[in-house]
Amino acid sequence: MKTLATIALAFVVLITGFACFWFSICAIGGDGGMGGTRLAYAIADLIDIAIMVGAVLLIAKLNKRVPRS
Amino acid sequence: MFPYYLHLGPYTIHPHLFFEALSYVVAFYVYLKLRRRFGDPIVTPLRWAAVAAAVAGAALGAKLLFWLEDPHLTLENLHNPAYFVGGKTIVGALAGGLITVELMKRYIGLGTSTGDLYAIPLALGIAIGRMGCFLTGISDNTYGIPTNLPWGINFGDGVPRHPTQLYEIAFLLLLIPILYRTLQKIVIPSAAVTKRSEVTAKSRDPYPIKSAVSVPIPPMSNDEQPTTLSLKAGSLTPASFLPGDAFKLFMISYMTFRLLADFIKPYPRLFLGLGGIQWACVLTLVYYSRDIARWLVPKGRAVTH
Repeated sequence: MKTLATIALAFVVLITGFACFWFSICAIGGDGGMGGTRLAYAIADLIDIAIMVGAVLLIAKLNKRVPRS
Repeated sequence: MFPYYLHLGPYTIHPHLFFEALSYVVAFYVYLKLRRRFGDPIVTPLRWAAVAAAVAGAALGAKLLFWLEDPHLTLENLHNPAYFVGGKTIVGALAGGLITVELMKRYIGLGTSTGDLYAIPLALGIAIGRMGCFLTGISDNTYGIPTNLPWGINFGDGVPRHPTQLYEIAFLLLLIPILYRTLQKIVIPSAAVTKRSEVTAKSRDPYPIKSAVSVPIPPMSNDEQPTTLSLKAGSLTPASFLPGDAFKLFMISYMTFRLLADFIKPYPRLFLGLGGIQWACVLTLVYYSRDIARWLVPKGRAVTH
């Protein structure tokens, strides 16, 4: 279960990581955008980063080893 | 000519978007192939934890170093969200990924090198991505300073410039076979030994030593029996190729290349004639200074205490 959860969360990080780079291209006016304003892309990027960081923290929490006593 | 848009059927695609996406796909595919061929020294969930940390660190580090690259420009663009979202640097991504993976490893209690399998995918991915930078032209800000050399390229501003992106591609393509050779010389314990069932909840090391090696081992006396995985691998390979060395070789080579190549880029110099990216390269090289010394100082002359 922990393995599955870790893999699922890692995929969330992969997708949000790619989105992070995609938003950057959209924001500087390159192609790939869907007609949003630069501010909209910036806000979307912030939300994206928050999800990504949250997923990484969850992965770390899930996989933390119990230190030897 | 620049940016050189790609026409795929009815679609016109920006070169940076296309090659960046292609680089992720190809790098991930090559990573999976290498993992199958050489095995993986860590269990699946911990590998994914390392991958996730690397991706997140890369995404954040790429932006952070871009902001520090030209602090004056960053201060002038405080009101411009596109500036904060839009910029990214590869050196920042590598340094950010390195820091977050090391933090993740420390937090979850993993003491093994995890980066060897990333070295070739990273080199290949950056080489492919740089093609997008090259075809984007002047707006990508990765071009070189003006030059009179015959291969100088006009990226759209009418001035022949060093095609630094192509220099970087050539460097990385030359580096890949060296990385592959290094990877072959490193003994990576087989993935077979990292089954989840073998990992006990209380174990700090995810794989037991007794089953950590599935490659032929020369007979050793009891005194020589290694106590850690890295020592075990080190006893089988030349001192210059320990687990983690393929990734370190990539990082040291790439950072050295960027440190030198950025002298022919028109970036602002922050301190002592070096730009922000170059300072990040210097710091990364300092971080790896012990490994550089290990490779450069002949084994017999190494001082032991």
